[in-house]
Amino acid sequence: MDTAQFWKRTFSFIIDLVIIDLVIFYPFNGVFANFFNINIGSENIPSSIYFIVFIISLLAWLYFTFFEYYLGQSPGQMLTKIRVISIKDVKGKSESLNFWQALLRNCFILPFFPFYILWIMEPFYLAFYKERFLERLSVTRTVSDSLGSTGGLKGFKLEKVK
Amino acid sequence: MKEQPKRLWIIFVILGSLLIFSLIASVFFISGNENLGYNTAVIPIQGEITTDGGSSIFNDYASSTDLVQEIEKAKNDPNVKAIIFEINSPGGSPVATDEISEEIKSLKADNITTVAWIREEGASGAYWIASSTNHIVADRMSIVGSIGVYGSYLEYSGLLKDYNVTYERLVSGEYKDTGTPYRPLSSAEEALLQDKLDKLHGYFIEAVAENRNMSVDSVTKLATGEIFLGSEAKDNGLIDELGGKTEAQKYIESKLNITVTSKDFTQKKSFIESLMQAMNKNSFYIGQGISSGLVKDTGVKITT
Repeated sequence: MDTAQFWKRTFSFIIDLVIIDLVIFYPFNGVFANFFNINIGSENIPSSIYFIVFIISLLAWLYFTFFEYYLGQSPGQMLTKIRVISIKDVKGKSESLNFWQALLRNCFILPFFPFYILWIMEPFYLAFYKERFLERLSVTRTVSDSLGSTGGLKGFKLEKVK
Repeated sequence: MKEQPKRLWIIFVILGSLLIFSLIASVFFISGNENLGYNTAVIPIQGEITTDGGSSIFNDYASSTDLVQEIEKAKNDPNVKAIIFEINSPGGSPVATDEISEEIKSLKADNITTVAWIREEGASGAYWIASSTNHIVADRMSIVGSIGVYGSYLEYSGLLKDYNVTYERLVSGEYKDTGTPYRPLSSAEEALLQDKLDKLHGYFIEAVAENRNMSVDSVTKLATGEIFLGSEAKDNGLIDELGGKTEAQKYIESKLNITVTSKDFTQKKSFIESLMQAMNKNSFYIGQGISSGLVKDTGVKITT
């Protein structure tokens, strides 16, 4: 099974960010508008912003995790025809991710130490090794979706791949 | 192929759940912010004070219409316990000044503490407004005061004469074209205009004296139109404290026993609105320049 092309991965990520912006970030616009109007610092404002950013990033993390766990693909990956597989059982067969694999491979989205180190590390790792560092850790791969749109659905074992 | 609807259903459930959670969380934060957020409004008064000339991207005007609305908005906000007026203005229209000043004074009935924070300048009408607040803070180098009124204008009848242009005076009412730049003032007209200016000056002095709890005589001595540096203004009682934003906040904190968290109450204008306003204004002035030059004399513009 072919590893997903770099441009497809990038494009799918951009699509996912747009969806996240609409579904998760947009409802918080009013909150941010309120905070940005408050112009003299007080102790509770930065901590509130920090908490909101935490909630938003947590939801974004769950977005990728749920889609990859239940469908093997995020909406961006569906559109660019790539998918995520587990390679724990690599001898001829691949299988759907378990929840922890999905959770681990997407923790880069969290904007807190030490996770933001991955923002720099992951692109370099991808450029040199054709896979992300977290993919190696979670024993998963992003591949071209040659199985059609039903492959990877939870409860459906993937077909044998060459 | 039965899996396709199932996939769509899963996509819908995941996105829907995340959206619902985001909405609930944002509502929670907004409602929480109502109580935790701000307790002090900041209202900037920048540029020449006019009754209707809002700021645009090219010019800075402090419109009394906008400012009164902003003060009303702050007054009706239960979170607001104090208002800081961030002043950077050379003054302007007496009427606009009085409108803003009266609105500020009405805040006392609502127990809202007001502070004027003068930055570069709080002169003339801007000082009149500042004097309406409970406390005035200015930098030692700020320009303060200039308690006076002027209505000077260019009179170019001599220039017209050089070009053999004559002003045909057609009026009904002796003083109707008083202040036209096309002929010199008569002594009666000059006395009349001077009388108006003196009356306005008197109102200015009375307002400052009342607002600052000073005697009319002591304000009159200062009301020569002279500008004072912040340090001089502190010495002669025109301001209360030297300093800046921190001192303004500290005054509120000590008076109300709160920790100041402020919110900008400026009415936000979009880029398009600002652009349209600037275009309208420029079009108006171009049109005014042509039409008033031909038809209507502008008369004397009185400025505090």
